Amino acid sequence: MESENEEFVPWSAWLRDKLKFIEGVGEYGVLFVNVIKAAVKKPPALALFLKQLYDVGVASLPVVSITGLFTGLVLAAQSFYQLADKGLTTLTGLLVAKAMITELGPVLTAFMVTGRVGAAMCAELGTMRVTEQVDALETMAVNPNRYLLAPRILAGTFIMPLLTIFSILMGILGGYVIAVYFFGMSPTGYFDPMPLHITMFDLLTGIVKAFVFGGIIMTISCYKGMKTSGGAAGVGSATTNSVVLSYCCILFTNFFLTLALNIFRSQLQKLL
Amino acid sequence: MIEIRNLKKSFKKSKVLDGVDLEIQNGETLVILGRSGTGKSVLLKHIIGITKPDDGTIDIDGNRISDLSGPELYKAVINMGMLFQGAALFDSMTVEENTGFFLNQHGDTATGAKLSEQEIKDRVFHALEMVGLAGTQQKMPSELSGGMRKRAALARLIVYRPSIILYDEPTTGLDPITSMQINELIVKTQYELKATSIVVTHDILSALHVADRLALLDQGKIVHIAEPEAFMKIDNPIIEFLRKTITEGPRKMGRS
Repeated sequence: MESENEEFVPWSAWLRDKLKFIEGVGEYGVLFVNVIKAAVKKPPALALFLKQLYDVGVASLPVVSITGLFTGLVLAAQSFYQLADKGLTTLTGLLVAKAMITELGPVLTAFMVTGRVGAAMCAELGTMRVTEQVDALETMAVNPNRYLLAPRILAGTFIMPLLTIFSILMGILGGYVIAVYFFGMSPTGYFDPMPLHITMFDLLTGIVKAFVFGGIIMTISCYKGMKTSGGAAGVGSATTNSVVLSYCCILFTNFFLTLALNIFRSQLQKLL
Repeated sequence: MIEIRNLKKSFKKSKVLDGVDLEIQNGETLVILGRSGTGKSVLLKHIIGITKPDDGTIDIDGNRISDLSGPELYKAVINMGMLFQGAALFDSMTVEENTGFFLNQHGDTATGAKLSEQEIKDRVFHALEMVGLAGTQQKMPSELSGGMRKRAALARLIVYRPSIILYDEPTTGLDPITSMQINELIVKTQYELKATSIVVTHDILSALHVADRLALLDQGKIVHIAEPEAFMKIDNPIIEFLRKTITEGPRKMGRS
């Protein structure tokens, strides 16, 4: 009877949804803290960590390179055409490099890693959860936070900056190919403005973003995986949710990080 | 001894366990019977500490397992093992890696010593031999049949010689011959390890085969508990039905 009554109050369902969301955020935080605690107390086995480094890092190289390369190609082509009638084509190389380093490199790499690694990770953990393999771990006195989650989250977070750097380099290379071999720019014309105008701060922005995105992808995928219930359909929806949520969080965080880092820089410059 | 007092657990709005009281002596095999969805598996998960009660307590040899979490819980359950309904083998590992997993993680819990690869291999071989799966070491769980998976999961348990073993529907979904093999294995394991066993099932033949005592879980409570012969004489509609399934045989059973 109680539940029937609740159905009739529209805001009650709305409120319950919101509360559920807040509860989820709380659970996510608790899980994150527990994983860190478990990992600090007794670090996960090196072999597990290396396996994850391989799965997240090395195995993602092809897809990340292709993403970087084509982004660089299209970025150079588009900027060259857009800048041609304004006589600003000398800026092509700089534009490609700056865009790749500060925005496109980190975000697109994060997207590709979400699709390739995050989804697989969530589905794997979700399947382990619904087939009671996670429970089995616990009954054998093995902490799943340490055994399953810590290696994934650590490896994923630390490998992301490297993957991002790789994708940035591929992007600059792609831009170079188009600018030099298609539009006939001189190699020095492409590269020369870069050392002058790309600052340490730009590089730092890219690395910090990659690091944060890595953490976001891994923790969300792990959280959603471990929370899975309801058999094969549950694994499917958990995976979808984790991918969508990761994408949204990456976009949000990217925006706020861009603002925060730039404000931080300008404040710092005022001080110095 | 395992002492369960007034154990209560609800999921969302349905009461699954509603005041379970149960005492299990060391070394005995207790079979808990009940219809599907009466919370038998939930009860087992409470005993091994991976589910926490809303109310009530569970003590194992004076250790309040229902209050423990984290490292203390893992320390307390290291001498316990559970056979899951779906076997719950780690599907990224071979049968050998699955079976040796506990020994790899914890070494020999009796002596606290780490085990060499060869020692683990030997123990794994013996455990697999005991369940009749010698030679499947390099197979992946997905290559095994349902019955083989259950037996591999049993090997994964007996390899570390736990003193308390929980069986969650060990024979459900298996053909009668494989079921009998599993029953034999439960009895054999019990005999060799001198373990306390709790078997949850709705397979009365299996129950009578392995039980020292039988308990009936209904509406979230243990309503009857007795030794097999006395248990089968109790006046209760569910036990009445169980009696019929044995005396009338499987052919009529399927049609009634």
